[in-house]
Amino acid sequence: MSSNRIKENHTERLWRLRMVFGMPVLLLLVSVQPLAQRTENMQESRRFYPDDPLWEDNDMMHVPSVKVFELEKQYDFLENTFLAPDLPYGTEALNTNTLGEVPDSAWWTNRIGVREMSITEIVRGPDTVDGPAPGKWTIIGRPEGGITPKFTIKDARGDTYIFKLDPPHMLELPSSAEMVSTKIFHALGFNVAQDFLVWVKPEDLEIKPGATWKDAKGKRREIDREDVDYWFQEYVGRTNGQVRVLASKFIPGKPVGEYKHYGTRPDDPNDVIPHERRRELRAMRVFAAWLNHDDSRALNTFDTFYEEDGRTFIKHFLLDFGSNLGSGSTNFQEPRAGNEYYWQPGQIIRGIASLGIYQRGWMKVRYQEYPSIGRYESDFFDPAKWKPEYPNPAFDRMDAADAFWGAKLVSNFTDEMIDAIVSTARLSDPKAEAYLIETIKKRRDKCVHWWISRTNPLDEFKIGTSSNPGPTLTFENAAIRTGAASPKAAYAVTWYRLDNLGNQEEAVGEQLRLAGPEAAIPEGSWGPEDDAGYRYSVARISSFHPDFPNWQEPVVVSLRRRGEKLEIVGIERPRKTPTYARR
Amino acid sequence: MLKLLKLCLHKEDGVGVKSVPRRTVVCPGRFLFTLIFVELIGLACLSSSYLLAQSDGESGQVEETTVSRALDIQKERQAKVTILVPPEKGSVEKGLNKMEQGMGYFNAVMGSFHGFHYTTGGFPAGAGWGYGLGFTQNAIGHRYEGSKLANLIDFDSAAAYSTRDYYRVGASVRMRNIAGSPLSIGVAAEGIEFPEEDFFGLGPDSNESDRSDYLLRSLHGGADIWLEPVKGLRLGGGAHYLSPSIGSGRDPRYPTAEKVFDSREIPGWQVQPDFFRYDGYVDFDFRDKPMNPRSGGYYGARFSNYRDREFNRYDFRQWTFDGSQYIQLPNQYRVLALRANVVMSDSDTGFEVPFYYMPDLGGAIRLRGFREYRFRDENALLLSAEYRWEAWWAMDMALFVDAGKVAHRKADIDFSNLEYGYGVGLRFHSSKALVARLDFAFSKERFIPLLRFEHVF
Repeated sequence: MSSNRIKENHTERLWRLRMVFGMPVLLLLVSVQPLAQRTENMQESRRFYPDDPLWEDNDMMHVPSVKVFELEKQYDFLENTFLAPDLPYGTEALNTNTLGEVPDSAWWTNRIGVREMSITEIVRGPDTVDGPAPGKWTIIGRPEGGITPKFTIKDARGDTYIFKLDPPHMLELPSSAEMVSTKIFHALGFNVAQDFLVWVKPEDLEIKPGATWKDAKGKRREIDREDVDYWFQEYVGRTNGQVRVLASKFIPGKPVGEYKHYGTRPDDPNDVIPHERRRELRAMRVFAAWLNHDDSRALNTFDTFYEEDGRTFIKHFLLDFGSNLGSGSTNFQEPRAGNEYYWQPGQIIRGIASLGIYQRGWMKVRYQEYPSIGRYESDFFDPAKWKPEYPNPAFDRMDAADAFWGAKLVSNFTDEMIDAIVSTARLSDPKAEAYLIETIKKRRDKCVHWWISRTNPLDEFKIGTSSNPGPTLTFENAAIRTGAASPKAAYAVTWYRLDNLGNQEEAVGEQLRLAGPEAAIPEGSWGPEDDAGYRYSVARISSFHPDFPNWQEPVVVSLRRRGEKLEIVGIERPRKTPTYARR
Repeated sequence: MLKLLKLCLHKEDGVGVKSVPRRTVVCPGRFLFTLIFVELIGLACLSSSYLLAQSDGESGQVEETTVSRALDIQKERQAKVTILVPPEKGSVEKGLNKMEQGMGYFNAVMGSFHGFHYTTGGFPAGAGWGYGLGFTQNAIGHRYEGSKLANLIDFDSAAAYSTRDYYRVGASVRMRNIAGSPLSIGVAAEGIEFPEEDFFGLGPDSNESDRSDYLLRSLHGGADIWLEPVKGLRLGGGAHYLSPSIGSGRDPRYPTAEKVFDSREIPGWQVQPDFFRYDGYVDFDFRDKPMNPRSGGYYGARFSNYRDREFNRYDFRQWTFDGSQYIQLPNQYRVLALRANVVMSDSDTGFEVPFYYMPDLGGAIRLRGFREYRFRDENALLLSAEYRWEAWWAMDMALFVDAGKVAHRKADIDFSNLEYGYGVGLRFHSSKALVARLDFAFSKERFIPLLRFEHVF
């Protein structure tokens, strides 16, 4: 072998050496920067985080101060009627967790439907006390504004209450509407005031020296006994000296105004989710329709600057349910309420041009007008067409997934719960009480049946084992369960491997028809392990029902496993906006 | 690194092999060292990149890194801390706020019937814009005006002027629920000067082209007593002293009446006595909402006896019957409103009814489509029918027809030769009362748009 050949052989070996070691290094060097970037990009594109699903949204971090910002009553109407905020429709709610639920926050606390609630707990509602403390009740003032007669008192404990009197020609009406609605909205998850029914002897009320009010002649002066006698004069003769009063406990904290149903508050760093994209505010359309809360506008909300554990932050409440159900606060609810906006030009033009021949459907409704119930009915009521007094940006952007969530919460109110809630209104006429209970139940059913079936209604997903070898995914059909649909549904599933970090799905086989609400989880459906050691699988489940073709849009259920532990981490429901009258 | 790589590659082509200096022969060793060095550098880069990507979280096991949805949301909140601004109202909202404050003052001036307030004077149509000062105190000595209280004294006074030189000054005192009974009494006094009152002549055949005007001046005072034994029923009577006087009209657009008509043929033109007037009346009001009725009715009758105090020439009697009925068709959203009003004057032989106390037709309430006071005579009949329907919760529409006639003799008050006015109207209202009415009225003579702030009936 010549020396050149030796050199050539040596050269060849070197080349191979470089190929073995050099190219990978080259590749490594070339790719190191993009890989780092890819790692960051993977985080942005990942579908699930290790801490999903979140059940608490920490929007109560310390805020040193906020401005008191009260909304203008007339402007709120004008803005929402004529100057609608330029916000897109068809957007999804942003404050849900990966299961489609709303985490606990300064807006919302998960109660009925998420955890067990006893009837006792529902009936107790938000109450942390049993009402104004027995003993001395001292009148400290009379607030201006509002349309119902009221005054403020301090009880023996030092707590402050607003005492609201029912109008003398409508005893029990607004107070019962408040009691019933407060219990229901609290059970749903909203923050509400503590309301109590108390019976007052006017002569037992004391008056704080120096307490003032603006009298009927517009003069501000000190309250005295003659004033108190005058406030109660229309009632005393009818009620054996004891007058029924709704006592509403002052919400702790400093009032800082109301919240709009769109946008965020610019001086509240906790408020980062536009209100029109909060699921609980959107789905409030369902709750408001049920209880005919036509006055569900920004002015009946309440923001308080709240202190808790050394932190101050804004907490958000709903207020003033006196015009719910059949009550219009100082009169019976208007027949138009819940059926037509204050300003609805199409209807007005039809009304004018038809010379009165065209009559809106609600004009023909005959009400059973019990004085303590007002105008509240269930036969004509159509949840799809119900509307508040004027447009609400959050209501208008409710999609099918929001509506399903709301309807499912409503469906958790059993007949017994409704019986118990209405009993807190202490109606003196048993027939009126029975009518109210029946109407609330019928409207509940209508709301549930309509909204729960606007989207693929599969729920109650669980990991189980059955006769199938290996784990299975089981589920229920909420529409069938609640009677909104006949039990004629069939199901099909397609499985996908999910690369969580890259948010990429890869189909595993064809769509499989299921024998029932159960699907075996294929072993090969698990994606690669992510940085937290989880592997993910996705099931897209379609429902087939002759009456609901829209159910074929699949519900996307995501599962994850680590070792032998399996859990459901994501539920995504079709959002296509249901058909209902918008403006 | 790249340079080292290039150097290695350069040596691979063999070209440099022959020309490589002796040190290159030992390149493989250095090359290997370079390779290892580079790989270590590469691994270090990779690791640091990865760790950089994990910089949010705590170090430790990969499963418990700082990858967290909750933390991501908190970052967003922390970012907002740097851009907080106090909420501000927009210009429209601010403007509305100012307007509401202004309305508050306006209401205090215009509508607060306690103390001094603005008043328009209650002048008839054609008087121009009225402005004046009023002073009202209801339930004097009491804080409240509740109907259960006894001996409630109300005081009302006003002094107003208009852009067409009308003026009115008056005061009244009432005592309601005397000793807790349904009995009430009132005394009132007033002085007026209306310098441009229209006059077209007397009788149904007067001509619109004869439009003229006259001045009416009057001082009157008196007392009334009434009883409301049950809700809606009122019986009452009164005695009043009246001192009218007539003069030349001052409307520059039209001639004064005495230049158009022979004043000797106009009863009451040449001399105007003082009068005593005695009244008696009864009415029954069962309308659901008197200020914007949709059901029920109102029926009233009044008798007035005028006694000439000076010339024994103008004694006369007058009967007024007024009835209105509101029929729902078939619900409160469509209403047929009907009205009939008859005024009959009667004087003995040798006596006359002065023209300024004769009933008239025409104007915004009595026979729309004709000018105010268009027809005048001793007797008058007015019939009205309106079909009202709710087009909007705050507005009703109305189709209306008015018919009427005046006549010198009572026997001529019948349904023949009626004058007709008709049209369409819009009525803006709250849940309890009419706020404003816009009627477009037509007649054989003209079209008249009418904007008023009281209901027609």
